[in-house]
Amino acid sequence: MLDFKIFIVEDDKWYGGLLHHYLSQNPDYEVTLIESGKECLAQLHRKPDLVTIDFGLPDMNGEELFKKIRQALPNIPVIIISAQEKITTAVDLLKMGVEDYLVKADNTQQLLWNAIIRLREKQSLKNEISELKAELKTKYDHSRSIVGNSPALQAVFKLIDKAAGSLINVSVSGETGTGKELVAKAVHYNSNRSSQPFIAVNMAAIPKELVESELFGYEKGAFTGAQNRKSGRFEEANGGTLFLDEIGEMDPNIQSKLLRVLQEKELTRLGGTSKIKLDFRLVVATHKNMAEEVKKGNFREDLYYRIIGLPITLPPLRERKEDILLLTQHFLTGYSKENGVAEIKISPASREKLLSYAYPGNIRELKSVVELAAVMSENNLIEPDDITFLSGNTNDVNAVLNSELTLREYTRLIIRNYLKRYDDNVLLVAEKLDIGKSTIYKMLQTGEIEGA
Amino acid sequence: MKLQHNLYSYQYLFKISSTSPVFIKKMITLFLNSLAEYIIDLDRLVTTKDITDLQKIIHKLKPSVLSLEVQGAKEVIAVIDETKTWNDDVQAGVERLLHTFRQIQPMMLQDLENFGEE
Repeated sequence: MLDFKIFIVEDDKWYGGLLHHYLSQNPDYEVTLIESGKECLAQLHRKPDLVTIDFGLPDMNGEELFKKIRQALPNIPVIIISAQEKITTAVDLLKMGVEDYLVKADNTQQLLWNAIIRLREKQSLKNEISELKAELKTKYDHSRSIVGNSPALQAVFKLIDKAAGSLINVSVSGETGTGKELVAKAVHYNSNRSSQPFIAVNMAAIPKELVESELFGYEKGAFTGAQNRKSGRFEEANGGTLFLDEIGEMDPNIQSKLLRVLQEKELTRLGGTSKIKLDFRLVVATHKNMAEEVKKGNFREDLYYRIIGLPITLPPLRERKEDILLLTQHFLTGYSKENGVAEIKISPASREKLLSYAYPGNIRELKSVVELAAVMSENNLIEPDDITFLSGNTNDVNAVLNSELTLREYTRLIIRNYLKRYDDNVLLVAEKLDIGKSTIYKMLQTGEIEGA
Repeated sequence: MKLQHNLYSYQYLFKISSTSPVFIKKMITLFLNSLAEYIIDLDRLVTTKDITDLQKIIHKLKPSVLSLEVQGAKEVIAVIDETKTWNDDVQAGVERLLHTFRQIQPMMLQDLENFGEE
């Protein structure tokens, strides 16, 4: 299939014929020989993938033609082929953006052949990067990446949109496992800086003595072991977003340095003297109450006010119970896809079990619970016994009470538990719980509870 | 077809031809057409002695005559590429090229006629 259009602009019919013949040996190339600059410009509507230009054309020189092509089709690569070997001409043209400069010689055809292969590899990589960036953007589109319909989450979505539409700093708070980094990524990948880097740094994960060099970078010889210059995370985030997770763990010394960077929008690498201009959006996250940390003197008040920006608080999972089953389904779909297994379903009793738990580890914990249950399940159906809660036993009174269920839900849970224990003997259960048997029958009839 | 002649060679053309006789015939024809123009141009320049015009023509004929290894062409082209004025060396070089071109023109025509009959 012809899928790569090449224009050879060459007034020397003999040399043009050579190139045409040589390149046409690749069945993927559709090669057109053009004898003048004007004709080349007239043919540009055919959208070539590459133009090779003889530098010494009779109607205009290679530089002029290159500039005109650039104006019409800015992204089309151009290779200059010239009989003159002047280095300065070649350098000037390469600086202007020509893809390559080849001197006419015995092996020019081979050089051109190789240059086209390199060019196509480069284009393929560029396309791959664009596709991956688009994929990332889709991945972190919050309507896809953050799952839930609860009002609490809808409020979060609105804030993410507001943050993404501006350059304001963002502070995300919430218990561990609530998805703070996902929010940071959603802000970045939905903003107009999405093609720029997103750099995440977990302040709790970097040894105290390395934090400064990690964030600020260093010059060669700045300290023992600094054998080469290294850019810091601030610099890497230039133009994009810097996400500082667990900001509450930041050392006071670094806090004052961060404050200066945010105020002056520039930094100096360790051991360096020159200032480096910075332009990034800062997103911070913490599970701590930062206002409390300021009161306790653990966090600088001036820095707190500078980083707080738009605060987004993520609700714990126990406060958005309506999202548990939605998230469960999301994780099961992901599990099936990743492991190449059929869709895994979940029995009504298992749903109830999942809803009855408080998830102190929040969504992260739910994900682990669901994935473990998927592994343990038989016949692609998760039963209650397949579900193991990781941070405590549901039989533990405190754990059950921490679930914060409604009285009706607790009643249902207790009756179900008793029915299971006494082999569905409704009369015995009614007696044990000191309630009317009709209450239990009604619940069984309506499906509110099921027999064991 | 004989690949190596005293005054020129088809070795390079055969090397890159992927054994396509159509291509070889086409390239020889193209060269012969250009050769007729070069002879007229160089003949005129021997009288006018316009170095800029000469260098333009040399730029144009260089790839083909070098690929066909036209005898003495490489040295003459080097002299003309280097110089800024029309001097005796240039004059001698142009006359030498003209002489060679006039010699090879009928030989190549003959090659073309014989092509495919062998």
